[in-house]
Amino acid sequence: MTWDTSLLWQFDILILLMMVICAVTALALEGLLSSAIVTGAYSFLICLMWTHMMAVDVAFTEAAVGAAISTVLFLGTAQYINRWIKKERPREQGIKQITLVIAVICAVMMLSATRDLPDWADPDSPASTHLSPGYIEQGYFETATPNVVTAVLADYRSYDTMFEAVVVFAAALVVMVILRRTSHKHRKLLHLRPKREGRDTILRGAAQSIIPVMQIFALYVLFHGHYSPGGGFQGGVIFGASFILLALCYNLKFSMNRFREHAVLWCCAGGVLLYAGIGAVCLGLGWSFLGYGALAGILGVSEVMARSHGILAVEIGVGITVMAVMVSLYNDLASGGDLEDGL
Amino acid sequence: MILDILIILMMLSGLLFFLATTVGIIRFPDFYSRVHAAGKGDTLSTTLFLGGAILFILRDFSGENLLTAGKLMLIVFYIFIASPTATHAIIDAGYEFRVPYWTRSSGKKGAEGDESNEENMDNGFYPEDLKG
Repeated sequence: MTWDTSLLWQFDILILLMMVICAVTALALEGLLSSAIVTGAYSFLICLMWTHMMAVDVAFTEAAVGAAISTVLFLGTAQYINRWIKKERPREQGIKQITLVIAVICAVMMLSATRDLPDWADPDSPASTHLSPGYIEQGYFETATPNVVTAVLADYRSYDTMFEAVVVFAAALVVMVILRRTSHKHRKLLHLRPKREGRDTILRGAAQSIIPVMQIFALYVLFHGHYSPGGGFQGGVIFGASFILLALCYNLKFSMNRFREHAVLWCCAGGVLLYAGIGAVCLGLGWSFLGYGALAGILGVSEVMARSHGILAVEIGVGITVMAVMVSLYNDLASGGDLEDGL
Repeated sequence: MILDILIILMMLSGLLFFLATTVGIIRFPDFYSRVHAAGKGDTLSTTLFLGGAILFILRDFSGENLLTAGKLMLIVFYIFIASPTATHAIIDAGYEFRVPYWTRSSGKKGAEGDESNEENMDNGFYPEDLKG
């Protein structure tokens, strides 16, 4: 498919303008909840931008993580903080001005540095002359994975992806430690939560028709990552979002009965463990860490197919971790750590 | 030719409904009517827009285009379920938190939905079991 981007430069300018407007609005608004919503809109605009630059995998991740889950988690966090920004004292004004000066200096330095960057899609830039041609030309023959992004992410740059999964895992741990260790007195939860006792028939009906499709779609995204945009992160986030939707439409207790705390924690750690375990197996068979070619003997396939299967296995690991971490983050944030009642 | 006109009509009416939604969100007096405008207009205009897109894709009929049209139809279907449900949930939450609503008398005092406007809250709008 050919894609003439030059036709749509007005579109670029429009999106960039709207992004600037969104960013300024998010800072200028007084309520944290409104800022969170505007940040979601900002993420969605970036997502359009990336789609336009043909970075569909990144756009997909941004749509799932930035525009959807982050907004929900922001909203969950905002209830612990005073919703309205206080009038600042004179001393804080001084600090803010110093911050502004530092920010302006940094911005000027960065903007002057952008002149040294290569143009977008410049074929002579170092990134396009050294590594990328190798990946694009040999990626399919070495890994049997048509989607180059997946091959680079989970095979050539496998270490990076493993530690990304570890970072996600650490985020869940930190939230758990902070929220479950704070005594209840110091928390500022919303005094009124919508109860909807007996009035949630519509929500439940909609949830029943949407959630199964969401979960099937999440599995499709995860397992079809070899051929189309998608993979462990996106699939995991969509699967986690289905549980969040369940908690929103029914209540937290219901969703936690379906996916128990114990299982969530096992999945959080198990996904990363699966990823690292595959690496360790490869190491044990005399290859390098995460050199999936070692699995050829176990699976009984050629080395190329073994790399393809290895990519699938680590994507599943990433998916399990991300899914469980999203559910865990939501459960902790919505209930204030006690996991009893929630939004 | 007729198909083209139909597509253009659908797109234009979609745009018109989007405009009406925007005007409604900005101009309507209270929370409930604004959310109502957003929910109704968004759903219908998105449906019309994507419907136009589906017809546009199906103009040159092939298997690949049929697949794309099918995906778009799924999007339309789920927007049609999810958007009114979300509107319902938002309005229900506002109802439970007793967000003041607009009446002809409160309209003159400028009912922008601010929560200090307490006289609106207790005039029989809420059923007894919600008052506690």
